[in-house]
Amino acid sequence: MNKKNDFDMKLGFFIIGIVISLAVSSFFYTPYDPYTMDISHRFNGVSIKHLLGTDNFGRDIFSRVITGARFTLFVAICTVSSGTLFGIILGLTAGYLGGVADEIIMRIIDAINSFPAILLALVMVTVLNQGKYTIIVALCILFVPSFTRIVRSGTLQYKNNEFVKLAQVIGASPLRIMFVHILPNLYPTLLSAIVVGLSNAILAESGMSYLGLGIQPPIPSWGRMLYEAQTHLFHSPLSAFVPGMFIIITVLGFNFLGEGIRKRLN
Amino acid sequence: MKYILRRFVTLLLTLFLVSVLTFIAFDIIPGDPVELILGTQASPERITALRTQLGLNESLPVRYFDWLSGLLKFNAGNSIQYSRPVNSLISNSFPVTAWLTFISFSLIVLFSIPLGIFAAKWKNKLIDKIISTVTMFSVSVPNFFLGVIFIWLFGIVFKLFSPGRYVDYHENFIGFLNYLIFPALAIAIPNIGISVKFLRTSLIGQMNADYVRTAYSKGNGDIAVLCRHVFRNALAPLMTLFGMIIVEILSGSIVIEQVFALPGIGRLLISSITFRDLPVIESLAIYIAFIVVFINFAVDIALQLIDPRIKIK
Repeated sequence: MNKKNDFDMKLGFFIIGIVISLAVSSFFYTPYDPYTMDISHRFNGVSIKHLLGTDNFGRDIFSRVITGARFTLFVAICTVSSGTLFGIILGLTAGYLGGVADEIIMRIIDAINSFPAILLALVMVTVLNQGKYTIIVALCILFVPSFTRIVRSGTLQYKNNEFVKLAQVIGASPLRIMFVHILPNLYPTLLSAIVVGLSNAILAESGMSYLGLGIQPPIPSWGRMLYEAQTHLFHSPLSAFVPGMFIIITVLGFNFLGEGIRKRLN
Repeated sequence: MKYILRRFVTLLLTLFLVSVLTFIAFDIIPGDPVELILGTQASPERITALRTQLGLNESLPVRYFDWLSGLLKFNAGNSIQYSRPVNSLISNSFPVTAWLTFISFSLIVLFSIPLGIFAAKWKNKLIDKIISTVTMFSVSVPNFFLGVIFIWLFGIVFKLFSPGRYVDYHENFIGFLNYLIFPALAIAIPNIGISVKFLRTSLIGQMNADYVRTAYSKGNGDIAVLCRHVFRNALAPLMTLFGMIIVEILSGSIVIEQVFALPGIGRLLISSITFRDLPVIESLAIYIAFIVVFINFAVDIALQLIDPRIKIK
């Protein structure tokens, strides 16, 4: 069983490693400029010149996909890390202080959770108006409830332990107890939640971009590329499959990694 | 009974908070609805008249209660994009989403229950490993990509349906259902993955219990123990799962309706967001959230009826 967990983790690391190195290398080198259109080379198939063919404007799909990886990963990392940050603050406060603070925070979290994820993100986009960073703020709020719950239940578990009581006796402030004494115990649980969160963030971002409400063109994003390719599905299914497969592979990588971490923790 | 009453109070509180959050969110949106309706060239008298008519000069709580009572009477004002009552737009597109949800839900139940049982029964055997691997893949595929693949494979290559040629349910009900099968499948597949994983874990958890050993010692076979004893005890988590799944289907249909050009709630929502048709977006958001709150409430009550040991928290 142990070997299998390590295999999951290694596979996850391997896949994510490839995607991240492609994304990083796109800063320095792409075979073609991802934004330059070349109508005479529309819908080219797979060839040595164009590794994964060209799209409806004759742009090189491989160059666009690896540039898109950069933006997708950037959005995913920003949203999950800010979601984690808010989740930690709210969860620790609700769990450690308890009472009225706990009631207020958890009722609001419940109310936010009553909106299906994508609806919440869409409403946020409407409220914030279209902008460059709107998608990050809109997706961030999706992750606050789950991280708050995780941190809160972890805090409740450790709150009455000896070491917390001792810290109280020597006069440590609540803030110090929350962040220095309790929080480090929650890191392992948080880690697997973060990895799974990243895969959800990628799915959510590409869904929003597919709907035209995420990353805005001409910046390439996997979801939007898929949407644009759908109209030309009859001529060129390739330009739809490539971004779709990249989404699947990346999400699969994070899921394998998350699964491996989760099993190792148990 | 006490439990149901307490749960009912939480229901009301959540509904209240959901409506307040929605109201505040839409209230802080920059831009004046009066200007949107009349244009920038309107005379000051007309603007003042419309402001009074729309109740925009009232205080925040008063406007909130006006808005809420309108919602509860199913009168949510007019759409800016279509200049028609919001509720007639919603009730026109609701049947499409409802049928889509129903078909997806049936597919999920139909596939995930047997697969979950197989995976749990042959735990760590080949069949379980195959099911687990397929499950892992199915939760990693975005539903809109599945939709695009289905359009290509079943619409363009095999010609099993005509993509984009939606059949209205008033004209040809069978054709309508036929058109919905592939969108429903695209929504169902990732959710089947989630359900199988969940079912497998909860069934395996039950299988180590004492009552299972007793059932075996009385001479029951594997299948009998699973179906008659374990499954009953796993029914409570199953109800929770199904409540969750319905919410997921609603989420999925927002995107999938766009992929297959289905004129349902999701498509109405997206076109309203693109047009910034705030009354429609606001009403859809609140109605969908209310549906979700009621589903959670129904699930909790059902759980209590199935297993009275369950107490609040």
